[in-house]
Amino acid sequence: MVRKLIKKDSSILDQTTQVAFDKCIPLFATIETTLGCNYSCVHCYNFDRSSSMPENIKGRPLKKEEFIRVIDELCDAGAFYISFTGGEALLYPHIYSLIERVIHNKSMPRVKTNGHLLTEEVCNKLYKAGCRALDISIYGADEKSYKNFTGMADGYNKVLEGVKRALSFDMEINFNIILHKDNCMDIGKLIKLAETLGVPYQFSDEVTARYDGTESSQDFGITPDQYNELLKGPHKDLFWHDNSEESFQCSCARNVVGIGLDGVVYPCIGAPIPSGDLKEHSFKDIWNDSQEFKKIRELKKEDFSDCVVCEFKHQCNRSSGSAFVNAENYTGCDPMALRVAQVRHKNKDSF
Amino acid sequence: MLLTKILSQREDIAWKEIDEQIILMDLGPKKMVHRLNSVGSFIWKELNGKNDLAAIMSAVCAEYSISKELAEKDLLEFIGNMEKLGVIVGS
Repeated sequence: MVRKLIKKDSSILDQTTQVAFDKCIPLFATIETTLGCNYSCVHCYNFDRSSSMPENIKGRPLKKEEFIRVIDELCDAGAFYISFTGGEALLYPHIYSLIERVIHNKSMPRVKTNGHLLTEEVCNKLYKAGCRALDISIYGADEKSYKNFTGMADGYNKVLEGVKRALSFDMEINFNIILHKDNCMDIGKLIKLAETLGVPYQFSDEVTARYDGTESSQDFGITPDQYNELLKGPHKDLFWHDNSEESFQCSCARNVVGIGLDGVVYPCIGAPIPSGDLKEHSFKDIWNDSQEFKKIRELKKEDFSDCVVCEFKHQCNRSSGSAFVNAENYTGCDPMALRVAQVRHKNKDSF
Repeated sequence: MLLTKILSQREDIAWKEIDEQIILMDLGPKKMVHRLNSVGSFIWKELNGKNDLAAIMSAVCAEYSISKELAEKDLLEFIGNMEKLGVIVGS
């Protein structure tokens, strides 16, 4: 009767993720804690950081007590991984209390950070609060690249110091390497950096329009010519994408959810479709009853009408959030993803 | 193992019940992930630092309508496994 009470295999998390997708359990939640940032990245999706923050970009930020209630409600609904993001999440003064609350609820806190502020004191506070995992964005393989992209003169060295310090606290670190037109040809150096530090990595080559409606961020995306070169280079497999299964839907509102700093709930933090307000309703009510969420969950393959007839669909890795941000059409074509898919299609015989 | 023993989940174990199965994640240096079936999940939730093993055994008997002997045998096996994994501690 009580045999094999415990299973241990490497696919447990994959299987759990699939169960959460099928049953619409918000396993992965991202909470935006601040829009403030010590960097002024040219590609930032929040707003154009060459200007001051638009006053109307968000409503009233949640208070600490409200964030804590939201964390409790998320955990009750099944959130196991709760990521704090920004802006720069470490600039939020109550970040440690929020991490403690996630731990109190027996879930897993993660912090998405640029890594610049990982001093001994900050690492110590994170560790004491219970944080054991950081997702660190990496913007370049040298100081010049960092300066041009983030506006921070000593960013590269500061981040490396921070990474090494966090590793000494036994933190699990993942690099999210942001590829753009000025650093994509340094890919070998970026990989070597991660491997030398023993840190797992993933790439993000997607630069979207901004949530404030400006689009100049996209000027910094990898160009088609550069993509073509990357698809012929020594790391070409990293840039290939096989979508022969014709999968167009993502995890939005199924096992993923995003919470804005003003309490607005989104299908994903990368898909800014307002779907409820936690100042007015409980998370459970929004998750179960939001009309936007219901529509997304009911989407069928044929609803992605641009995609099903597209010549480049088997090489496209569109995300619905990016399609919404770039073209204001959640189920439509993302012109940025299409541009990349066309280059992949041209190179398909090499894969 | 004495049934008067009181055990509890280690403080820094993250866990969540998903579809009647508990996923455990050891946030310590091992960073291991484990999954318990529904009966293991039931026992895990009883390991709260208040119930002794005898009380948990009775709860298992009542919940799953099995004999005391079988419940004790399987409970102790489960506890042994949990101790080997280091995810429970004595209170």
